[in-house]
Amino acid sequence: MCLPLVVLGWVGLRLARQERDMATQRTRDLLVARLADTDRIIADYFDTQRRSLATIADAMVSSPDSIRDTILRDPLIDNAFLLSPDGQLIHPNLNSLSQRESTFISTHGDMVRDINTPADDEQTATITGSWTVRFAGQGVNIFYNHASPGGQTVAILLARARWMADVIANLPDTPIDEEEVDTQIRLINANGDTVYAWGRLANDNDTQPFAELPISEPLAAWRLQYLINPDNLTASTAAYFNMLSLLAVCGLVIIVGGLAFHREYTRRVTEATQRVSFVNHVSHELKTPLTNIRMYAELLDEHIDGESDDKQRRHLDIIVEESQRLTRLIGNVLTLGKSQRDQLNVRPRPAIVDDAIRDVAQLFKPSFDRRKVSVDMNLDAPATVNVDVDAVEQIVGNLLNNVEKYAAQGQSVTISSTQTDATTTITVADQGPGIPADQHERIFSPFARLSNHIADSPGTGIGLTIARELARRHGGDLSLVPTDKGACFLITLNTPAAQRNADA
Amino acid sequence: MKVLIAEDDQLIRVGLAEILQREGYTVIEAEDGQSAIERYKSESPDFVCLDIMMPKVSGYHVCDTIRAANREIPIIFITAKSEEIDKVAGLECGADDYIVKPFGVREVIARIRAITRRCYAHRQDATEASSFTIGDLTVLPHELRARREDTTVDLSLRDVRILQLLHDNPGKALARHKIFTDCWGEMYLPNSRTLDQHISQLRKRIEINPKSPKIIRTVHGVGYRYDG
Repeated sequence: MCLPLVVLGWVGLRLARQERDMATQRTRDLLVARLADTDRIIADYFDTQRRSLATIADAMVSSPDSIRDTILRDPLIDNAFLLSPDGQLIHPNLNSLSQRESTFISTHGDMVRDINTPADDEQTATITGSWTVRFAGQGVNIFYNHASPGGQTVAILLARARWMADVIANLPDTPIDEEEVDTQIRLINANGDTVYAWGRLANDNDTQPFAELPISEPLAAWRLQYLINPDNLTASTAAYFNMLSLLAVCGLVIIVGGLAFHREYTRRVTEATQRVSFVNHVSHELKTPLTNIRMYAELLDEHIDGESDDKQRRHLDIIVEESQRLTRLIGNVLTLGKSQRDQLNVRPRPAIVDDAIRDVAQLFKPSFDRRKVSVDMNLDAPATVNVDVDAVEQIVGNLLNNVEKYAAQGQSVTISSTQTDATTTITVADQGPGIPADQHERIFSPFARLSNHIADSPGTGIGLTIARELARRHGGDLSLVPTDKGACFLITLNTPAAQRNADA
Repeated sequence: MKVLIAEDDQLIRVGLAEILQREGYTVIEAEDGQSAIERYKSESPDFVCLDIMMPKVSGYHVCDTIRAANREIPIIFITAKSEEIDKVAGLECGADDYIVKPFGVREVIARIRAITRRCYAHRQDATEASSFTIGDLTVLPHELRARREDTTVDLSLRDVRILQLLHDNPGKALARHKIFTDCWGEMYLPNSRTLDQHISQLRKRIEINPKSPKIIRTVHGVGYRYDG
């Protein structure tokens, strides 16, 4: 029982985890897409600047004297390099450097060398130029590089404050999805500092970004982060835990149910076993004294000289008969018990039915003699057939027992037997008071007697029940045949032919 | 003939012993499986009656042990269990027959005689040639039967012994104590009616007219005689 539970739990866990991961991934993808939208805003801005910077660069090339003016007038431009085709620095003029230009060169002077390096053909082919990012001073420096058709090179340094302000100005000040109040998008610079954030996060301490996206050129060193309230994040984790707890509950129910069932089953098996062994034990215990009563009565019988001790013999006969009656009663009770437990079986073996009938009739002879009941036997079932002799004796015995109890006043009982093919038929007919028509079926029910007054009719009421059950198990039946006087019981048994026993 | 009875209930054991002794057998008693095996080894009985539910060692085990030593010896189980499985098991483990408690004396006798016939049939000294005629009766000792024309009578071992003794001494009056000693194997007590009762019962079975016996004649004051 534990193994499927473990497997179930493991599979469930895997599934839940997969679900959670997939859900997380889906959410992340969604958010990354939103960040990409934001990124596009930034990229669009720089693209726009690039186009205008291209024009400005061309103007710088054509009139280098106006560069200072251009720089002054354009808030986006911090400074600029202009190089001759052979790499000579035209602007700033090293002979007359302003303070600003001085700082500019000391910071970015080595860039001139890099600019001098011939770029790819492809790169120089682009009209709008390219971006270069340099890390110096306080962070990222964005240069716009431009190669003019005449061979001059322009490198325009963007004023950081300006482009940053522009970028931020272009960013939304609320999250794209206004329903998500507990989320935040952050603009993170190359150092990991938050440059700008929009949205609202209840608890923004030590929050790991749920989604991240590096920004397009030229701010590739920067990134956008999507932050979610950890509680919201655990919504999917909550679902995960919900599933787990559901599984746990299911598992618990299975375990508890299994245990309860197992215990109940074990209890019943134990009970049944105890009942069976009790019945077996009791029957064994009862049979020993019964055996002795009968055996010693019969031994005593043989000591008696028949002629002179008739009375003694009669007394002994009664002892023997009553012990036989007790044996039959115990047999009936045990059979009923077996029948109720569905363990009643007949075991046909080669035998002669008439012999069995004679044996059981013989047992009743003394009792019938005493009651002056004559026994007529018309037996015609002499073939050796497959029959359970014990069952035959129990059935006929129970019927004769009833005659003895209820129909002795009829003074006669007739037992007949016939055989055809694989069927043996036995009838036991008496001349007693008979059975009322409305009781014809009821008498076969367990514990049913014609009268409920104990004084009226002795007996347990199971004799006919047993007899019928045995007959049916033997492939036949026991029924009451309508008669004018008395009662006539008809037994049919399935008795296929058998090989004659060599040791008859 | 020697019979070993293994039965833990004393009353049943003693009762069975009495039945068998009346039949003419010498009875060896054992009250549990262990002593059953021991007494089997020391006494070498001709056949064995075993109860199944015995302390220490069960009847099945005793049966197996004896069978391992002797494939031929007849074994009867006497038991309270009538469950089919027990019947089959009992017969499958090498038992020859099965008697269920509570049994009748006659039933036991019938089974024992049947077993005895089988014993004789198996023996090398099969007494087929030993059938004899006494009066108009043909006695078949190995079958424990007597036949007159088309009537067959079952005989006990002792019956056969008595008739054999009479037949071997035709015309001679045999004293009671001699008959008793020969056929009972015990000391005859003068006041015992055992012999007379037995003869009386035997006459009822084999004489055409028991009141006027032709085969076993009374010799008053002495004993009995067969006139040859």
